[in-house]
Amino acid sequence: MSEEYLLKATNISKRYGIIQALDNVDFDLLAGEVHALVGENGAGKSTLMKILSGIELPDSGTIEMDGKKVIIDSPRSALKQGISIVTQEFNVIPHLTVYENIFLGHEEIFDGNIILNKKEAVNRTLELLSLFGMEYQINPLSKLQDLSVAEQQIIEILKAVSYESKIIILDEPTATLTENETSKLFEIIRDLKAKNVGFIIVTHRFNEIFEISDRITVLRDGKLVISGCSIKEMDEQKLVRAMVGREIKEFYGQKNKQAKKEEVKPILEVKNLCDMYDFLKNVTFEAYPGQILGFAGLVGAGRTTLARCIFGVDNYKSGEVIVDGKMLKKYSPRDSIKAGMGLVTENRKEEGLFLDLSFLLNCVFTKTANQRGGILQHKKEQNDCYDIAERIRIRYGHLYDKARNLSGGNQQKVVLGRWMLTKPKILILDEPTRGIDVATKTEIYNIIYDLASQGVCIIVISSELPEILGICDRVIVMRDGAIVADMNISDASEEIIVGYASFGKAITAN
Amino acid sequence: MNEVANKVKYSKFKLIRQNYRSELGIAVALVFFFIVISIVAPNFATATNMANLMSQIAIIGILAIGQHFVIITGGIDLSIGNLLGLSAMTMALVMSATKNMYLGMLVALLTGAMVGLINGSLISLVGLPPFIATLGSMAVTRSVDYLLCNGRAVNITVPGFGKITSASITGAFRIYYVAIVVIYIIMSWVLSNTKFGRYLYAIGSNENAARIAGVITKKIKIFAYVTSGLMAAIGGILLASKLESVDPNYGTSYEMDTIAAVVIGGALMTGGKGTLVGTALGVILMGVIKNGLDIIGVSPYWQGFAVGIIIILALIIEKITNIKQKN
Repeated sequence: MSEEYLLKATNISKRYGIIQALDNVDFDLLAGEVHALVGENGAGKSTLMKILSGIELPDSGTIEMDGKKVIIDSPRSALKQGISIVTQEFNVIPHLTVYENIFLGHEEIFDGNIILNKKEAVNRTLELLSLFGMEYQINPLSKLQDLSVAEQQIIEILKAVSYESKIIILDEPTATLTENETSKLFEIIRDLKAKNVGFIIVTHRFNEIFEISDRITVLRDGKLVISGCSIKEMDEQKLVRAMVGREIKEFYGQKNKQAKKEEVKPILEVKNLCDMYDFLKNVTFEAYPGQILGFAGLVGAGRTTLARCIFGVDNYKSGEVIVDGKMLKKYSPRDSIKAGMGLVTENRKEEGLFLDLSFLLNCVFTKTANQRGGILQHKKEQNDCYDIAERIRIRYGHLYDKARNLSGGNQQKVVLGRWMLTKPKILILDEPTRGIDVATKTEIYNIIYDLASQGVCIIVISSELPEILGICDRVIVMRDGAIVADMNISDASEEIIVGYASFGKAITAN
Repeated sequence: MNEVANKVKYSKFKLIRQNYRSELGIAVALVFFFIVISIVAPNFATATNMANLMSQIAIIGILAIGQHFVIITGGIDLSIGNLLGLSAMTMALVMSATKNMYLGMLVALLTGAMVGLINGSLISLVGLPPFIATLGSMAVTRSVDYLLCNGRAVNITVPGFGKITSASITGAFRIYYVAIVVIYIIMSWVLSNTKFGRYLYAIGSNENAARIAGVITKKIKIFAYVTSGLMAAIGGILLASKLESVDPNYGTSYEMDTIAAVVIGGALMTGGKGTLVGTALGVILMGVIKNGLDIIGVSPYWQGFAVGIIIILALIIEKITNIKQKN
């Protein structure tokens, strides 16, 4: 490892509306090292990556490369200056071949010829593949869609190498890889390190951080917590504490703490649920009326998949979902609603709202859709709409305004209110406060308490640990599609949950 | 409750202007063209010519209802022109074999509903893109049409069948014009006052959200195409009654006129938006332009030109006002 800075970013700040995504953050990268960038969701990792790869421009701050100040204002200029990014969603084109994908966008390296010299391109691809001993595994003429996910990822990295990038940013590179593939990837990273390439790696998997990286930077709420600390001076506990380290404020509103009533019959029982892709592994749990049950875990731990299977949005391969003693036989949201369930999805714009239809329609849609009779009762619907708007304080202009014109917080309330009108016995909320301002968050928590006190079983999926700890009575932690912990909230802490979510075991603080 | 209700008082006018912007725009355009053509050609705004205009737009008008239902779900039905031809043909053949007019019309409706069901199933259950599925059935229906009659026109000799379109209230003003207006009113009521109508908009706006809210979206989409097929069949019955004979070429490229009418009327091709009033205005506007050019004495070769310009202009205006609204 040589001691020259490939990249030095100082005082980077970035603001999105009211959210300060990055606040005077410094970051540097040496040639031939792997620098891990760690933090909880919303800590600012992806914003920093976007800035370094030219997708976003910082509000302030400077970036230097090789001691000279540079401006990275587009992904293309990042590439030209030697920075490549491999994102979670690959940028490969499935219908094109390996060599076409690798040289897509910089065909000019072939002596400025407009027509791609196929033979030359194939040979260059083979050379690149042979760097990693993959020339017998991957045929440059195969189409990308016929390669495994790991192989596609390797192609992405080769693409970065073909640009002769000095800096390669990897976003959750192992999220979709098996253990074997991961170790193959790490071999490649080590090979390139020896050639003085610097890596910035963003990952949630702690064991991999300790395996591959040389230094580590931790972000929290857009601020630096640990800056470029050598990995030798870190351990798991320090890392967890640095990531979490927040206090739970009064922010979570008033909750009538209810002790779990063991004698009550469960309203929801899930037994040995496996999804169609065998990601969920025999998930079994039960939930009780009036209970607020939190689901914690890393992004991709299977919480959303579980919710979608329970509610019948996605089919499941095996297992049982029992509501109030009755087993759900069919897989469709309609049957789940009839049984008394509701689901607020994590992405209200894609799967919740009818953005270009009226506020009124959005509020009453689910109730009307699941009632008898084919003719709409406008007067009744209007009254329902006024009722719910008043009850959960939705601020709107007119009943016939488009849902698009409501603020994010009010939109979320509309989706929530829509389900409240159906009077569900079980309400599943997937990231109910994502992208919502602080004041509305508290309002939504109060709605949740209110519903729970009326005996509704609330299941909250949240990636914000303070939220889980602040509002839930009980928490289930998932990791890689399986439940790894189920405890009362009084037994839980951020350290314990992060420990289970990341390692599948408790990391006890000293 | 009243507190919230009264919090913001909107004027009714402002609301109409907001929610029926496209319809108002096209109504203004329609009035404008109507006046201009009336001035240029004095024999345009006469009772005879108006009846003539009605007869020119009646069949496209009926077909446009079906197209409208499909387009607001975010789909498209390319088969309805040819389906009109096929339903008319099956009806003509049944009528000439049985001499029973009602049986013939029933067969026409069944043909329309069945092709609609096939279209809907291909799109909804198999998951084909609407454009491709109906492009396929468009070709197949026309081919079956030719095969059934061996390429020769079939005369309808059942007495009383012509009455459907020739019975008049006064002079050239036929009863079936009123029937079409009634169908428009009923279908418009269906769209705004039934769950089925609401689901069509909801599916066009956000199909996933509709499904999660408990709508069996696949079924509703199939119904939309069945409606479209039925409207094509009604169009076929009317056309056959008017001409008292069925030529295998009936209905060719009618689907394009219906798509144009729906789009001019303010519906979005991506679905979720558009009223039948708009579509009716679109049908009338196209009819007025074609009829007007004819009466003024402009070469019919210009008709396509004029209609094309109107479609493009309507969409440009829509786009500009949308951008304005967003700002």
